[in-house]
Amino acid sequence: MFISLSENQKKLIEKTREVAMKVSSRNREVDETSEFPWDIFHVFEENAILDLPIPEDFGGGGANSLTCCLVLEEIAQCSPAFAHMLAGHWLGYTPLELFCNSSQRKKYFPRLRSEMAAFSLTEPAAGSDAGGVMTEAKKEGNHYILNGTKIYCTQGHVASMITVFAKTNLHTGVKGLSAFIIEKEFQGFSIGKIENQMGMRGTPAAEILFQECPVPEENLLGKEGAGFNIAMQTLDRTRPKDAAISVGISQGALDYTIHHAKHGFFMKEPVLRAQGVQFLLADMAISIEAARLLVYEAAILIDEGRVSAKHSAMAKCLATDTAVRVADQAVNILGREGVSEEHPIEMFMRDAKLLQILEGTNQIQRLIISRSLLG
Amino acid sequence: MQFELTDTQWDIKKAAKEFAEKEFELDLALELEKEGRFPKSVFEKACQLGFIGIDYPEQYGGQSFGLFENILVIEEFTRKDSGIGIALSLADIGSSIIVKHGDESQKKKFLVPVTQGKDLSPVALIDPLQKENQEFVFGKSGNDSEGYVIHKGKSWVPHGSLASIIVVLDGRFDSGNSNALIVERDWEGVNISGLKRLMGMRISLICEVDFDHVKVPKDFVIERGSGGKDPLTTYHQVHRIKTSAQALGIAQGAFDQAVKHVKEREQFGRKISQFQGIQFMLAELYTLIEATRSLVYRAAYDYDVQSSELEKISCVTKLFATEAAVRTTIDSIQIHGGVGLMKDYSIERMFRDAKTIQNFEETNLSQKVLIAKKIISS
Repeated sequence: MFISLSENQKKLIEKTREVAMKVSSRNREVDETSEFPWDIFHVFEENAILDLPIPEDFGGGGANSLTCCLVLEEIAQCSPAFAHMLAGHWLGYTPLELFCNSSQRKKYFPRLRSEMAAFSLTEPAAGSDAGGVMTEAKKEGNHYILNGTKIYCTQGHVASMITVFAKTNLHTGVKGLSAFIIEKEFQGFSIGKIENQMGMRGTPAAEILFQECPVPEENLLGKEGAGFNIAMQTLDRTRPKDAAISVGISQGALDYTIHHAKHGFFMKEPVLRAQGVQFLLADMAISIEAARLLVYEAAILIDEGRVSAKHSAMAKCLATDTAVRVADQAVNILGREGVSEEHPIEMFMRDAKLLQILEGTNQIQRLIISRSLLG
Repeated sequence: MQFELTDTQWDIKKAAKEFAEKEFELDLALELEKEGRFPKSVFEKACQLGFIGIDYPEQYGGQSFGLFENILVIEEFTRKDSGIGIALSLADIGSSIIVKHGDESQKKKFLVPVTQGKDLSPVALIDPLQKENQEFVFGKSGNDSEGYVIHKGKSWVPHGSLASIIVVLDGRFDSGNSNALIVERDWEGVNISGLKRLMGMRISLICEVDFDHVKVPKDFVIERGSGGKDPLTTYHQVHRIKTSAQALGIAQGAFDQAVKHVKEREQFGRKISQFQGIQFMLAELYTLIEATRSLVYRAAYDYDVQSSELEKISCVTKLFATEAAVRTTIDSIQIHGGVGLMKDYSIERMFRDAKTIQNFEETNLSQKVLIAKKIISS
C-alpha cells in the first residue's frame, strides 16, 4: 500500500477482518428476509466499530475518514450490506459532527454509540434536485411543526435519530432548506413503506412521515436556511465511504473468483490457465487498485482539512462504476455459478448497483466534477 | 439480402405484442416470481393462438414458419415482461431438436401435445463443465435393438419438473455421443430435485435433474442421421439465437421504460429528458439495441437457411445481445434512479433476468473461444 498505516490502524483492520468473516455467515439469510440484522448491529457495537468516528471525549473511537474507509472496505469484502449499515449510521452522524452546538453534542453523541442515526433528504419530487423538497417546517412559538413525506431514507425505520431536511421557507429553492435532528419518539413522526430493494436488502431504505410533528427549536441544526450547505458538506465527506464499500465489493468479488475458479474448468482446461480469463482478472485488478487509491486520496484530503467535492465525487463515481463492472466480470468468469444464490457474487452485483445511485447518482457526481473543472 | 420484414412477419410481431401487453400483467409477473410458479394459463393461451410451435410444420400442430418468426414472438414477449417471456420461450426448447432431427412418429408423439398446451419440452444438457459429469454418460445398452442407457449425469433444467418428457443431450466436447435421448419423467432413475435459486429466470423453475442408469428404448432415441448435423449443434445454435432474442426484447423493454420515465420525471424545473447527459445515454443505448436487432434477425435467418456462417454468427449474436441487455438494463436502472432499484417495478428484475440468461448455458467466454476458433481455422 502506498500509504503507511499506523500500528493502531493495522490492528483495527486485523480485528475488523475477523469480525467481518464472522458476520458474513448471515449474508444470505439477511438478503432473503430483508430484515434489519440487529444481531450484527450489536456485534459492531460490542467490537467498538459502530462508534469509530465518534470523538474520544464522548467514548468513541475518534477515527478519521481514512480509517473509517479502511474498515468499510474490509467489511464490504465479506458483507456489503453490513458495511452499508455502518456507512448509513455514519452518514447520519456526519451532519451532527459538523454542525451540532455543544449542548446538542452532549445530548446526542453518547447515544450514537449504541443507537442508529440516519440522514433524510430525498422526497418524491426531490431526488437529484434538493430544491424540490416539499416537507415544511413552520415555526410556532418555540417549536417547528413538520409536515411532509421523505423517501429512501437508509435505515430510517430503525434509526433513533435522523437528520431531516425540511423547508422553513417554501417559496425558495435550496435556500429555504433547514436541517433538524428528529428523534423517533417525536409525536407525529412515523415510518411508512419499507422498500423491497434489489440490493443491500438487509439495510433497506424507508419512507418517513411527518404529520403535525412538533420539533423543539433547539433541535435545529445550524441556522435556518443553512440546510443545503449542511447536506452538501456532509455528502462531500461521506461519498468516499460509499466508494470504500465499492472497493471492498470489487476486491471481494475478485478474490472469490480467483479462489473459486481454481477448481473449475473452462472449455477443457482449468479456468485460471485460460489466458482470456487471466487478462480479465488483470483488468479487474487494475481498475480496483486505481479506484482504491482515489478513495484514499479523497479521504486523506478530508482528514487534512482540504475537503474536495471534486475528489469525493470522482472517488464515488469511479469506485461504484468499478464495483458494478468487476462484479459483472466475476459473474462472467464463474458462469452459471456466478448467478446462483449458492455463491455470493450475484448478491455483490446487486449490492453494488445501489451505490451508483444513492447519495447522489453518478450523473450528479459528474455534474459536480465538470462544474469544478469549468469553474 | 432483404432488410424489411414481410407483411406477415409484421402481423406476427404485432399480434405477439398485443398478446403480451394484454396477458403479461406486472402484478402477475411479480407474483409468479415470488412464488416460483409457471404461468400455465398464459402458456395455454399462447398455444391456442399459435405462438408456441409457430416454427413446427403444420401437420404437427404448428404453422410452418421458421425460427425467424419464432424469435419475433420472443422479442415482443420479453419486451413486455422478461420473466414470463423467457419462461414461454424455453417451454418448447426441446422441440427444436425433435423438429429438425426426430423421425415421423417422434414428431407426432412429442410435438403435438406442446402446441396444445398439454405438455412442455425442456432440454437437459449434461453439462461438460461439472466435475460429476466428466465420466462416461451415454452408452448403448446390451443389445442394439434395446436402445441406450444414461449411466450418470446431472443437469439444471428449466421447467424440468413440469414436463412429462425431457430431451437429454451429452454436452461434453468430442464425446461422440451425438444422439439425443427423449426421457420420460417418471422412468426409473430420473430424479428431479428442488428448485435452483438463481438471480433471475425465477419463472422458468430451474431444477436439478439427476439421471442414474436410465434405460432409453430405441423409439426414444433421436439419431444423428448420416452426414447431417447433430442434435447437440442444433440445440446450441437454437439456444444461442433464442437467448439473443430474449436479450433483445429485454433491452428494448428496459429502454422503452427509460424513455417513458425521462419524459415524465422532472428535476431542476424541467423534464430530465432535457439533460444532455441523459440524452447521450439514450442515444448510445438506442444504437446498441438497433445493432443487436440486426444481428439477432440475421442469426435467425442464417438458421432458417442453414447458412455456412451459422455456427459463428450464433455465437457472435449471443455474446453481443446478452451484453447489450445487461448494459441496457443497468443503465435503465440508473436513469430511473431510486425507483429502478425497487422490486415493485420491473426494471431490476429485467436486469437480473438479463444477467442470468447471459450465463445460464454457454458463457460469453466460451462464445469468444468458439468465435476465435472459427476465425483462425477459416
